[in-house]
Amino acid sequence: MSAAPPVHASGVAADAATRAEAGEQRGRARVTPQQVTAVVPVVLFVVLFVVMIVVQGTFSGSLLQTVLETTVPLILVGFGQTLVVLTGGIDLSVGGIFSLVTALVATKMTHNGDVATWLPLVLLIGLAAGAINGLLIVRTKMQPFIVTLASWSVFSGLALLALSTDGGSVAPGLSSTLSGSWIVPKAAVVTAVVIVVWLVLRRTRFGTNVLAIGSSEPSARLNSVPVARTKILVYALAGLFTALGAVYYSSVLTFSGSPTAGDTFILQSVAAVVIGGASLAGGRGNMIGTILGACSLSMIAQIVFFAGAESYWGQLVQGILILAAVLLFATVELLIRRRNPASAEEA
Amino acid sequence: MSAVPAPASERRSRFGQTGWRRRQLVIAFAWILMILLFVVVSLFEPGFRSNTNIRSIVDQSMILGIVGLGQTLVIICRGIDLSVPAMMGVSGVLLARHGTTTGDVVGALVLIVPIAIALGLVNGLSVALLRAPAIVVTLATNTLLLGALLVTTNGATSQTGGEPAKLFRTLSTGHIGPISVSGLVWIGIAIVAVALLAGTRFGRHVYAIGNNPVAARMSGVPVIRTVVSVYVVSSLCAALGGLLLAGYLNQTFPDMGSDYLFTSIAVVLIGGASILGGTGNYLGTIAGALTLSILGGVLAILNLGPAYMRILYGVLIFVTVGLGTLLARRGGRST
Repeated sequence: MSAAPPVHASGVAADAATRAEAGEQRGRARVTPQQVTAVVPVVLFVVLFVVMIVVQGTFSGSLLQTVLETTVPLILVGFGQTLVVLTGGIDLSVGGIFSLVTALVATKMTHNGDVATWLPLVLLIGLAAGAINGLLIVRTKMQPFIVTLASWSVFSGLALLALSTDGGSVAPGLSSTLSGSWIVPKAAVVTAVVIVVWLVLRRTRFGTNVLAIGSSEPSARLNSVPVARTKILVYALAGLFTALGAVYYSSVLTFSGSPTAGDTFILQSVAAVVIGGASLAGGRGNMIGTILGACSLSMIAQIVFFAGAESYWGQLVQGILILAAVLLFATVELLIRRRNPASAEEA
Repeated sequence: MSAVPAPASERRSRFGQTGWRRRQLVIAFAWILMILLFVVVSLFEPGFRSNTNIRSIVDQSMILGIVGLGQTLVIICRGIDLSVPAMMGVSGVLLARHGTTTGDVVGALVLIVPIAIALGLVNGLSVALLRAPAIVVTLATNTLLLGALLVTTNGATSQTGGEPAKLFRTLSTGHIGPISVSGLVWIGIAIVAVALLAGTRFGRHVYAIGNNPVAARMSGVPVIRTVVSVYVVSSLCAALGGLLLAGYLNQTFPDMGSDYLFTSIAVVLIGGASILGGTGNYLGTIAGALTLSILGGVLAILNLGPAYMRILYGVLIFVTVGLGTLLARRGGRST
């Protein structure tokens, strides 16, 4: 602490210098991080898609269905995570909410007759759990990382109370309603709905407010954006979409429950958002990128499976991919900022 | 991540002095909470203060405390290290494969130490040099390292097994008369850690970077070197934690460190450090680690399973961090 006075003085001087430099550079041609981050997930998706078809040998509707069905839970969780990251936060509690809902689905919705009562109830639980996160973040001023870390622990404890080990079963009616295909795979319909919801949401006042908060919370406040209300809604929606993902996961993919199923979705959802080009600092990111990121992550697992390799190869490749993506985006941002400090102020 | 940043001048005058004292209060509170918990439980359950039980609490807390040391340094530096579980798994599994007798331990360390240093370098350079977000970088290296462990051993390590060297069994569970070996080891490490943070230039640099990285660089702090060192130390602490955990459990498996992702951060937060960096010290983390182990013991007495433990851990973080935020709020910072 003794070093504080000189630190403070030079900090202000540096600030002024940066601002002066920014003024000089204004008017130069810019490459925005948005342009780079928009291209990367598309390229990655196409490359992995081609590799998957090559490894599999053929392309069929059922292949597309398999890929989408395994990705839908991550797309739904990723939707919530994208909203949260756009505000500059992070939601680790998706792991706990996902586990809790999966456990409830596998223990309470075992017969077709239970679905009508329990489906709205579990979705409400997801919504409420998320709203609690949001309320705590807004009211106590604790960091989202800490609040959701703690609530992840609490929710996953509740999941263990509902279902102590992997098991349970899911109402067959629910499974058959959600899986399979009409003319197109139902998973594709779900994905399309998510995209439409995003496109609509982005054009609403709520969407604008989310981006405003992520870009600069103080400015958003000054422009009378209802910061508290918007944040609570964002975390509540994250909880709701996580619950939707968990219902889909247990009824279409596993047909049973696991009180720890959600833990992998913490990393996976954050990774999908980051590969999709969102900035963890907030204000930049979009749902299409997240969907492409989620598909890329699950296609890696599919490719490893089709190639006949053990599943841990998928884990290794996913780790490399996530690290490469985050380092690439960081480098791009750094280069742009170095070349043109003005764009850093906007980002 | 941060909320409204206070102007630098305001932050120094308010947070720098009274806020700092409030932070020390939070650390004192962590100790008071821990001691109170122990005393109250001992009143109801006399067996709780028996020498054997105290030793077992210390044995469990030590591993958490050592892994938490690395996490403390990283968090003071405004970072986070989520690659702890993989490093623990790697060091434990490699010990069981290559260091089954005390004589072989050096052979295992020749593999483990370079991996830990490499992991720390990748984490640290990504965060310091490329300004990549620590959360994603360390989550990615965690996945990558666990995947690499399984790939290089053809998945053979995914089963529980292996007989780690007796040396680490002694270090983590042994006792000399009534005194536990783990306690002695921990006290030694704690003295070094506290001295490092409070009394050396490196320690001052760590706090300076946590308070304001830009200002630290302007005033001549070697930011990149310090941040990279901090992540390397964290990986080495996790590696040592993995070795000790292998000895404690007397078996190893790749996922053996998975609980430490949460608990290593929890002990630092309960110990009064701010996730925004710049505050906290190792004494707080020690109290945090002891608190978690005592709570585990209490739940075992009450015959309550892991479900209640998770709920209680979460609530404990809310309460302690909430209190810290309340105390430090007038200092113009949120936690």
